[in-house]
Amino acid sequence: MKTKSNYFSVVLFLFLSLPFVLSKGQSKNTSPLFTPVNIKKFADYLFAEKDYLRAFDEYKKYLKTENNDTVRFKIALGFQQMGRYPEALTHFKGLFFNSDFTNQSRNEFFKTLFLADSLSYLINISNNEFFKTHDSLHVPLKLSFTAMMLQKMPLPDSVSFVNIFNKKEKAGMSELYSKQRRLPYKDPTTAALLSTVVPGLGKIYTGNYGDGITAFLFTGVLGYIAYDNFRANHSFRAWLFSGLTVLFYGGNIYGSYAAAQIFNAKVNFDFVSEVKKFLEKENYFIPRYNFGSK
Amino acid sequence: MKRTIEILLILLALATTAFAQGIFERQFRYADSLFKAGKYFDAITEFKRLMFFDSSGVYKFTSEMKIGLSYKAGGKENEAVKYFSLALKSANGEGEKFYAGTQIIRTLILSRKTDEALNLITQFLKTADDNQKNLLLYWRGWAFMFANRWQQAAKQFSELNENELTNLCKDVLNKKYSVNFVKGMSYIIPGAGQIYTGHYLSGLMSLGWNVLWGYTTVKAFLANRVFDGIMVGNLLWFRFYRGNFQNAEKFARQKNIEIYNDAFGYLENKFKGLKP
Repeated sequence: MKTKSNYFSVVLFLFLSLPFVLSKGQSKNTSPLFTPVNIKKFADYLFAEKDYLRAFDEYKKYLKTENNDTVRFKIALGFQQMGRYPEALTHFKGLFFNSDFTNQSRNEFFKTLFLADSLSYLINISNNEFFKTHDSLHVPLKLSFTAMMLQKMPLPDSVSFVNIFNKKEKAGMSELYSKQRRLPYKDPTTAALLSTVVPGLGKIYTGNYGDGITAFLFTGVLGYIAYDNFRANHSFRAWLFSGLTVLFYGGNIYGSYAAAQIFNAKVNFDFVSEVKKFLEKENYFIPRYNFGSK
Repeated sequence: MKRTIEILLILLALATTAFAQGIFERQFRYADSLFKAGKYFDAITEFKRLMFFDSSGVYKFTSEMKIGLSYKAGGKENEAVKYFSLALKSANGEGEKFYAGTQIIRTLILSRKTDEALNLITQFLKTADDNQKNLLLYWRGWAFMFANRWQQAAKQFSELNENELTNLCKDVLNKKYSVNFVKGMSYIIPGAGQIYTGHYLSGLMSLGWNVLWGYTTVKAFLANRVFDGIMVGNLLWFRFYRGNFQNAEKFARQKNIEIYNDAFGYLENKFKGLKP
């Protein structure tokens, strides 16, 4: 009976002292919270919370002990999300070869170039065989076509252009393609010529009706005052107002030219915004990821 | 024997829980040590790690508060308010709720979201006890100061017998310029507002230009040179006259900002009492 009681006491003592022994014996690095699996779990949580900098720190710790392309890809995606495009591009490049994310990283590489506004470079490298046929999504080619559209470069005919897009993307891209062909630009030279003939007419041509009427009246009144002063032999005033008339007249011609340029810039801006909105909606033609527990 | 096994299993379960709690307690101490050392970025990471793994939620409130305080110390007020608000939701009891609430108020004051801070103070006043009420009213005074509502701040602090802060607010009120008065002075005598705010050269220049173009305009009208009168009056005199009172207004506002900044400098560097 006594032996049984002793045996029970020893086991009880061991159990009760277990947490104390384990807890005291562990440093930060051996804590179960810092095992590679838990580090990754925590990093994934931070990544989902868009706390990218902390997620990167955790992923880097994880990569010291484990080899995982999903993690590397997520680091690159995080940089892209943060708008740190050069770092994102470098990380995507690192996954181009012998990686589980070869295709995805090439697609994201192009998306990053687009986001970074490196459109000319994007168009140039999209002709590279390496990017041409690497998967059936044709993301580089699609983004290259879209970039060419924004850069006002010659595009293929509408059928060839639209054919590379899938069913869901076709309608939107077709509409953008047609719109790009007939953007309502105003010719700056025409605006200047119109204002040369009738002061303010160039402004009206560019849609600035108030400015146009004001310019017409102002130049007219100044011209009339100059004429009236010449007639009354008030030579100084007449020349003064003549000078002012010429100044306003010339200024209005230049102003009309500039107004047409501003009008065109706005047309461009609106079109680019529309294209970017469409691309955002379509996630730059890249399917959404589901990383699961990878 | 069966009973012994049952007891051992129960003890095993207890030991496991205690072990887990030991890990979390150690993690909490580690995160807190980072917080105390001013390593706020790392402290936030470790508190977040603790919250992520501690499903029991034992450290939830404290961690959220510490994360909020770390963000606040790092100047990220929006993030701080977010975590204090989370802490307010997970608070147990009125004391914790009040603590989280006042931290939200203090952070809102710092980020000059005065209306939000005042609304929250009003809400908390409804359920606060006397001590809590005094503290809330104290923060209301601070909210007024940060919104440059010095008169209201002075009244609030005076009611709380906070003499140092009351005097500071009164000092600001004495020193600050009335923008309308300064502007009005320059309406009546061009340049007077500028001189009153200490910008003597600007004031004298303004007076000179207005006298010159006013005289030229009047002289032209008296000589029946109506056109000249209209042109000089319109293009020169009125232009300088308008510039004069606009300038006076700008100087008064600038001076007031300097006075406010001096007061905030005092609060930041010399005031020893409780600050947001």
